[in-house]
Amino acid sequence: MTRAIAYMIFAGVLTPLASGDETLDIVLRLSENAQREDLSIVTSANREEVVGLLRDIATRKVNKIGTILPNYLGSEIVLLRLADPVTMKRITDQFRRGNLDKGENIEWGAQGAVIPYLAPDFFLDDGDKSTILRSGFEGVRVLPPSVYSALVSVRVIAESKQFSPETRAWAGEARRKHYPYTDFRSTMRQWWKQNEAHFTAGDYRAVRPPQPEPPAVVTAAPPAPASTPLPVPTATPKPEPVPASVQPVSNPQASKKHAVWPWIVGVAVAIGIVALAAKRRSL
Amino acid sequence: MKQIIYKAAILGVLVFGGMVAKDQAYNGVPPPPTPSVEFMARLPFSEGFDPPMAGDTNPATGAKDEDDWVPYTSIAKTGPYAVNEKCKLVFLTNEAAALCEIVVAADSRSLITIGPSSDGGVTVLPSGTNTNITITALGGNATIREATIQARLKIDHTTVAAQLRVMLLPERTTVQAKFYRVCNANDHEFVENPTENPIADPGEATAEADSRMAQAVVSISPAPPIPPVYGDFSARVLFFDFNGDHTLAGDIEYAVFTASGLLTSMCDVVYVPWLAEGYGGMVFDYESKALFIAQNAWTFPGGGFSDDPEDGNGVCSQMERAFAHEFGHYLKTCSRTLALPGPRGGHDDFPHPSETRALMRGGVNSVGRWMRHEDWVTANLTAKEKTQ
Repeated sequence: MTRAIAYMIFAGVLTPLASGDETLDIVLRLSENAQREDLSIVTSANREEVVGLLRDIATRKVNKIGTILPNYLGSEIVLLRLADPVTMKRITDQFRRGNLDKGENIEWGAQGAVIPYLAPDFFLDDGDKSTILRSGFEGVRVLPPSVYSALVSVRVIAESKQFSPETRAWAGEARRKHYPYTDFRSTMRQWWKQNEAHFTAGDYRAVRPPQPEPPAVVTAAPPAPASTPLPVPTATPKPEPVPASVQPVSNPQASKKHAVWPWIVGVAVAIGIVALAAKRRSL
Repeated sequence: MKQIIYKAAILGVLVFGGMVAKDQAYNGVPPPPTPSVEFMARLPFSEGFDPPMAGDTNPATGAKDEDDWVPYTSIAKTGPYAVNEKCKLVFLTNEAAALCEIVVAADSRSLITIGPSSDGGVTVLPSGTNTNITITALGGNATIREATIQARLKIDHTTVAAQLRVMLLPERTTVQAKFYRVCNANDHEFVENPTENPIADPGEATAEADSRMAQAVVSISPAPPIPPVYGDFSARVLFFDFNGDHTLAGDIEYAVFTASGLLTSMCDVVYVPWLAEGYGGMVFDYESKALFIAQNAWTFPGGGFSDDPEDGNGVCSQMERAFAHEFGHYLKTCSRTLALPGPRGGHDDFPHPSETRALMRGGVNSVGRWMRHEDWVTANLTAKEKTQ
């Protein structure tokens, strides 16, 4: 029996027509223990109905079932755990639009399949400074979206048993030590390129920490200086931000301008000679 | 036919017969037509009571909620908060009261009882124009339920003149908050501040938040070891060099706290001497998930106080209440504006009962005690997930 027949929905209130509804029992059991309940109770036979009801609850289309106020937050987390594509897209879209608390919901889901929805953000060039969303007495500080999406991703990996211990250990470290943000963003871009195929295949066990890129064939440039190390958290004094060193800079545009000057001088001298000659003739 | 006309006449008298002497005005907005029988909060205004208010619309749905104009109250399913003494039924006249009975709706009798009752908690007979009712929860599992109490006509035991929703929330989920103080890394000295007692006792800070969140059946307490009163945080010290300015500013300084790996509890609160970059008093940081509070803003015991009329001057320190407000953000309330980035995000600037202020109102001087019933649910569910 489809859910549409089993229930009467009116103005967000869903009235069970039969007591002991199995789908409802499963949904309540899952959503009340959202982060830990064994998902094996969702089978190929009941998945469509269970996911459908969970979606209705998570999006608040169904606010009440008889005297029950169903757990919309738990339903959202369960849907993430079930890798429901509709929910993963909805939540990551909301997160991207500024509903920052959704980031933690994504983490609670601990589902690797959500990371491809966040990965495009890694490639945003959105600066290296956090933003003050609210100033005054109480503030909210948020990271650049590329960094925050990457941070949520490594937090998901660190909490998810889908990934290998090695990868989880890397993610556990990265979720704490992700500064400077430019380095973290660069690492996450590299990591994503190396592992995207595993995510596409759903083979999360094959996902690895970022590997060193093979050396480039032509190595003309000197090695880049190491990033400012993050200070030891307990007793070491905070390192001063390293100021950009003042180096003579060769500006290619400026060089081109300089190259034109001899011609201009030459032409001016020639005009002067011609003008003098013309003047003598007129005299 | 005569009986039908008689019942209609009685109902007309009850519902439209006049205005109840209002003890709940609504935030400068003209009140809605008031029935002469109405469930209200006992005075002074009690938390855990959400009355219908004129002009109060939910921006997400265009309505207050699915049950427009029905008052709500909250109760824990089990434990010490499983008894609710916050509500009363108010009639215009004693004669009107004599026509009615207060009953638990048929679908709610396995959830609650009411008193004082002579029939096992199903019915209360009004004692006059003001009848206090005591609601007792009958237990149950972790699922949130909603019971209904009705004022009905005695003549047919069916016609409903007023209703009260009772939200039954699972027994208090306790959030353990760890408090830290920062010590200068070079000389291991705490940074002194102009205020006499710059650090609030975590016990007092959490006690205020705990009291406010009782309406959502959420609890907060300091995690052990609990630092002694006023400043000796020797058990919870983070060493850090503020580069001489004693100010937490810039991404690299926040990153140090995240990298320390120390801020891993379910709720971390860090006192720092000063905050910069536009934050006056406190900042919630999505990077470390910690709440950073500037000591200079915590002018305890003195300085600012909440202007909540229910508090009275001096009852509650501004910063104690501000901490309760921040704890509300931690629990992802106000759910109506949570999706809005920027200054309004998470703030409840909608109509509120005039006897109090909203806990999640924007502007620290205006923060009060009251939460709307949608946020009881949000806070309760979030606390549950945070403590998993």
